[in-house]
Amino acid sequence: MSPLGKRFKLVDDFNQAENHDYHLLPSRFAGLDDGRYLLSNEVGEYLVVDRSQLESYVKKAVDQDSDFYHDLKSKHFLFDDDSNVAIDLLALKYRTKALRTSQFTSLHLFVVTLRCDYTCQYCQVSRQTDDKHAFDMSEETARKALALVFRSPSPAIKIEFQGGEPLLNFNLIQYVVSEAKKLNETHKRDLQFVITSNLSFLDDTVLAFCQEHGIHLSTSLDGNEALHNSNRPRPGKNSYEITVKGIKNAQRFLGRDKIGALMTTTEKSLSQVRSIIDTYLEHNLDCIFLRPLSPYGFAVKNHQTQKYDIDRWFEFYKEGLDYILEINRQGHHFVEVYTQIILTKLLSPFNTGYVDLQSPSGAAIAAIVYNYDGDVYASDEARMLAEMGDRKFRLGSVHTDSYEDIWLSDVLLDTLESSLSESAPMCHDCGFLPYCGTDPVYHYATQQDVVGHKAFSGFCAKNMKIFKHVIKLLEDPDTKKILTNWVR
Amino acid sequence: MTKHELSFDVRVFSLETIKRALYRYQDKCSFDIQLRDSDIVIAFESSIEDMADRIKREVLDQDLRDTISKQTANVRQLILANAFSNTGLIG
Amino acid sequence: MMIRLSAKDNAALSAMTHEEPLIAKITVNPNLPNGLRSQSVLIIHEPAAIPDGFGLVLLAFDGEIANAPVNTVRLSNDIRYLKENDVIKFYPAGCKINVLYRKEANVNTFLLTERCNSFCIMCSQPPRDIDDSYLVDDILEALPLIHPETPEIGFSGGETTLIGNDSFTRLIQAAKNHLPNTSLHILSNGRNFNNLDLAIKVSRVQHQDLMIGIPLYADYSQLHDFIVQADGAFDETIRGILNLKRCQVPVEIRVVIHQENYHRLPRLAEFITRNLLFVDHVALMGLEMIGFAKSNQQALWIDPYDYRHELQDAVETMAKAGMKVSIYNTPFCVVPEAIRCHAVKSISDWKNDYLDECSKCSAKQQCGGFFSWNLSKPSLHIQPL
Ligand code: SF4
Ligand code: SF4
Repeated sequence: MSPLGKRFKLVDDFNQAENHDYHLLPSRFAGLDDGRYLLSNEVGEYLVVDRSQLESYVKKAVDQDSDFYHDLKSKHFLFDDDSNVAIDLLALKYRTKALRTSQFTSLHLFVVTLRCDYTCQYCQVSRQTDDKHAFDMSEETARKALALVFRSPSPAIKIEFQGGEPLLNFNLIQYVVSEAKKLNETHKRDLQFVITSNLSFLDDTVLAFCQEHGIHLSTSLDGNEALHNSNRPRPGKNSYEITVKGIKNAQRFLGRDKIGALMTTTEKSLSQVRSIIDTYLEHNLDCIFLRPLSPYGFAVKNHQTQKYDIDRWFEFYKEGLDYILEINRQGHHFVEVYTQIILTKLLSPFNTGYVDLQSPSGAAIAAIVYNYDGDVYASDEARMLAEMGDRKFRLGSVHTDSYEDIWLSDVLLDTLESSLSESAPMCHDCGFLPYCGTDPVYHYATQQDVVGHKAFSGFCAKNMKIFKHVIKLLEDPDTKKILTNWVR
Repeated sequence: MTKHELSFDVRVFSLETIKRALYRYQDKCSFDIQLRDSDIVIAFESSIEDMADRIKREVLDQDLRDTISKQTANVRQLILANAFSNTGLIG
Repeated sequence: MMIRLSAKDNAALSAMTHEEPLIAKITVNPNLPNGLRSQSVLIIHEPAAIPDGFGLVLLAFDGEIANAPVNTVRLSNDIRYLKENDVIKFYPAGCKINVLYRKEANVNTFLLTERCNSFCIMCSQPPRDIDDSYLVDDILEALPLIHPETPEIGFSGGETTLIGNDSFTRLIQAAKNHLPNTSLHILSNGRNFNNLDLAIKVSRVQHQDLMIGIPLYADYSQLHDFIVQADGAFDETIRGILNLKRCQVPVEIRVVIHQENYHRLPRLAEFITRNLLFVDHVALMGLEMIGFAKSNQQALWIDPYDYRHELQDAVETMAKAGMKVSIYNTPFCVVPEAIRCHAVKSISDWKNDYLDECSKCSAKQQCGGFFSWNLSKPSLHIQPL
């Protein structure tokens, strides 16, 4: 390249870094695969580096004319005397990320009844009974819970109706929606409703109601007919038929974006991920959440089986994700939700509101549960744990406790503080920390300790595997194109 | 199960660094740590073939981690202080 | 075709009564009420009786005329396009005319100063260290004459803020007062907004539709500082952008692409989405082969075809992050198809041209074409569509 005219100085003249020295900015790393590492900074920007690059970075031996140096500088892993605006920008980015936490609870789960027409084995909470009084939420309880909902400072509020089968207490749902809307006339939040239902009772009245109030539906679909029916037994042995019909009706009357499905992975699912995904495609669903085996099955198992389960589940996830990528390559947009959450954390400056991948823990901060009897729990898992006899994460009751009693309770504050990943052993200097979270209820259930020893943690093992896998997938330009389209 | 012994020079590696490295492998084996002269000696049993190499590498990694956190402690405080002073700009 | 905005070879056909330069609006109406004539310039396209009382009379034809009244000038061929509502500045001394405003133009840009605190290696308008403070007064005089339906005007430099904080805000205020329906685009290197006070002053004007276009040429300091030939410029510019956005002033980031920075373009796009996601627009621009870009052509020129992958990568990164991105000054056929929806016809009409083969191109309507001065060095991959 021929040089510039004489009046111009050369690029070397603009390096103000004295003695070619630089300063490290806060960063962490984790092994990625043989000899390679993921290097990430406080706000989640990352580089994949090899061992010698990592060492030369930390030992301040990187050549200042190299692209590697410029990458480290541009992504705020270091700064030199040529420029210190990195500090301002990092502070700003940190603030943007923290915003999500400061907005506080935005997801409020109302367990409107424990009654259910299904008899799923893995379900810890449902009851088969007609006794409405014993297991339904009353209007009084709902009213008190709503008062707490609107104490939350979050500008967006989502109320999710759960069960049991919530449509068995449809009257109360109607009551809560109309009361919430009334309250919102003064509070003016961005208010949304979701009903999580098996759709058995999705009739025209319910559909009309959902349409009128823009309510979203969420259901369970575990896979093909045989798998779904065996996972979700109900007296007529026709749960698949009912669910699929409900999905179709909801799509037709409410719109495709108003109905989503979730799957639960069981032993039987593990060998049939492609068929599960095909079922989702057949029913015009545009995403799937390949969820791990229920952790509350793990609670009773020992560490080795837990790890074994994680390995098998990961193969299931990987095979599924490969298949989904293939579907996208064929020009059909179809998303795996857990991967999408992780991609959003990896590739955008924002945090996601996903409860399980947050630090401080999303428990009670991002989501909170009001049980049918008015008891308040830090998360849905906390409620299930209570059903199994351990009320450790019960925060109080809408009948006896105030907003302050609940959100400033010792249980909650201790849990939040002690489970901060930034202070947890292994997590605090793990390269995946910006994308990971802390799951105190899970760790308590499996290790009787809210922090948990991460070397023994199924949560850690699972997430590490997924992070590594997704980061490696992003190295292929064509796959990256598909995956960046998933980022929200 | 094979018995292994590894020693690290205390003038090069701190006890903290070594403990942090071993913490990551506690699901694989249990460790016995002793101080002999100017060496930190760790003894363990494992059937995993390259366990000793993995531990050595982990100690080196942990040493780099400790360097990073020591050298960036101040600037980290500065960034946090900056982040939560009200700038009125949210990205 | 290229249009000239200034001409010296006008000829005075009668005595000049002006001693000072005259800034005035053009009319074609010879019957304008007497009271308005002294502040107006009459343009006549064919021989006719010339009425009295106009501040200036411009003859846009060659034929003889008898008894020209005072202040009659025969226009240079170059600027006979002048029309009703255009605004000119007339220098009685050399009979020179500068065209300040053309009603027909897609954008009218006012030069605020030729001085600059940077010295960009590809500057299209090389700075001159002269006292040109009269420019601000000229613009203050011209703004009230501009047609109120003008969609957009621009302020450029040099470095626009060097006219001083007070003059700078006064001009924005004047644009707001006289042209309440016109958007205002200001080019600045952003360095002086490092001073929060200036940003606050600008935001206080509350102009209805303002955009400040600020160049950012690289994702790290050394390269940007080299390109603008000023140490510390990167930090000042970034802080300037942050300050403006803190005050809610709309900001556009402008990236000129050339040999020295094209390879970092994808990284720059990542840097922008990570750090400056809140800016309102990003313009990626082809090199304009004039000024320093021309004298440094060998070091700077790169065929846009040769950086098409980097361009696509950068555009997609920013667009996916939800940013508004445009591609300027790049022939439509050289822009990769996937990102053609971002290509904008941006070149001002007076310096806009096409190649011969463009006449058989079906995309000519959408295509920005070429700067007239780029015609001699077009991309080697022009491919009529
Ligand atoms: S849980 Fe595991 S993967 Fe997540 S931050 Fe902690 S150590 Fe890293
Ligand atoms: S052929 Fe000419 S008019 Fe057509 S897109 Fe290319 S440059 Fe534009």
